[in-house]
Amino acid sequence: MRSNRLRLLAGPLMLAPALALAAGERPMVKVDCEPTDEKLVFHCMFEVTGRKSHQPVEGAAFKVNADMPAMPMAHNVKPIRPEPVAGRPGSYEGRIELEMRGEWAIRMTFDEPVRDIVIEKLTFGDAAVTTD
Amino acid sequence: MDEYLVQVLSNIGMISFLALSAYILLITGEISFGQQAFFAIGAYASGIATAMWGWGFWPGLVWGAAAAGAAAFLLAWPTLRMRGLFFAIGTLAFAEMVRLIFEIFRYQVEIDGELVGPNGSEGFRGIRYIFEQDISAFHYMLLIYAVLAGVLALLFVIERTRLGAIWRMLGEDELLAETEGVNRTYYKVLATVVAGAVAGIGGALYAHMNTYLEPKIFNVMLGVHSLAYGLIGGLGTAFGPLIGVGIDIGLLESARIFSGYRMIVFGGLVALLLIFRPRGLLDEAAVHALVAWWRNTFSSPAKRSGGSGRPPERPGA
Repeated sequence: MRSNRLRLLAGPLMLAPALALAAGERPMVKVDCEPTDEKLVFHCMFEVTGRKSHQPVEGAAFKVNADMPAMPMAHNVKPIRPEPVAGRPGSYEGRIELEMRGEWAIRMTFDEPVRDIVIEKLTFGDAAVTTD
Repeated sequence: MDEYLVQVLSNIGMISFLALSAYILLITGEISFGQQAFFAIGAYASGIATAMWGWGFWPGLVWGAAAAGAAAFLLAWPTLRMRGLFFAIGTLAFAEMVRLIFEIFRYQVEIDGELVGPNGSEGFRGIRYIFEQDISAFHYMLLIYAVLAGVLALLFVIERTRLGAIWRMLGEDELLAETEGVNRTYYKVLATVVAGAVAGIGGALYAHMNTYLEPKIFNVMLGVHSLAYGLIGGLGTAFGPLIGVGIDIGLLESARIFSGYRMIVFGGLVALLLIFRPRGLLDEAAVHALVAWWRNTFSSPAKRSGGSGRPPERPGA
């Protein structure tokens, strides 16, 4: 019983330096989106990790918008600010509304942990969203 | 200011450079489907300068404009003998050639343990100047409009000089202009180079805002739009293309009244205007009417009559 408690305490303590390390470095993001019941509205999950440490980044503040590479500057998607997912460090979620289906460059502009920009390209189809 | 509004206004500002670039050629009587090539060259050149060579933003911007202007000079010579449809096809072919070159163009250097630079069709990531300098999106938008105001002022000055008159003369009737002693070759090349440089400035600004470039961005769609903005807004003044941009991105896109059908509406609008107002909403006649109205309404009676401002003396007084 006592050893279990120690393990429970030791887990976060061991993870803390890694998270602190991840907090100062440039982020890397894995984006997964899926269609919702609403037309052209997609639910997206953002897994934010440190680019070098590969540790989840907590407390990240970033906005997400999108641009169509085939029609640059012609479509302006309303930016969203993803919220952290409870119980999943480094995971954030949000709903993005696009203007049409096709290939979009998802742009994530970070204010925290560092000012940075990460771009991922996704193809939004009728039934699924795929990465390049 | 709202993030979305900043984004929309920044996009309007950046694409205005491309619209002005197409406008310069339109007033000289040439239709170009290839201005996106100079936008691309400006974007890549300035991105390489700041992200890979460590240049500052302004030298990078000038370098992007110069590279685009130089490329326009190279295009101008072989296309000089082409007119009308042939020139349009020539510029389109050039733009596609440039895009395909960027598809295979690889030039990368290692910075902070990461490869930075154009990587063919994979694109060019890491143009991080505005992040490294901590410039906010709002301040960058102001910078875009400051540069746009400078370019507009330059174009207004040009239009009031002999150069502007010659460009419009060439646009009206090349043969007549030549019989009046106008060196067609010189002025057409000059127009192409200036138009290329203006597009290059827009590209440089785009590269630093977007931080990411790929050849697909610079496809024919961008060129068609830039051309359409001048045709919608009008060729009477440099404000015309900006009105075209405002109608498309500011009104149709931002209002979202047409949603995904916007491109169809936009195409229909271009077709209607080409039928009913072939030189756009703010054409030369509209500009002259507006100027006359302004003079009649706001200038002093002396200026209207062209006199000295003193009442005429009565005979014998």
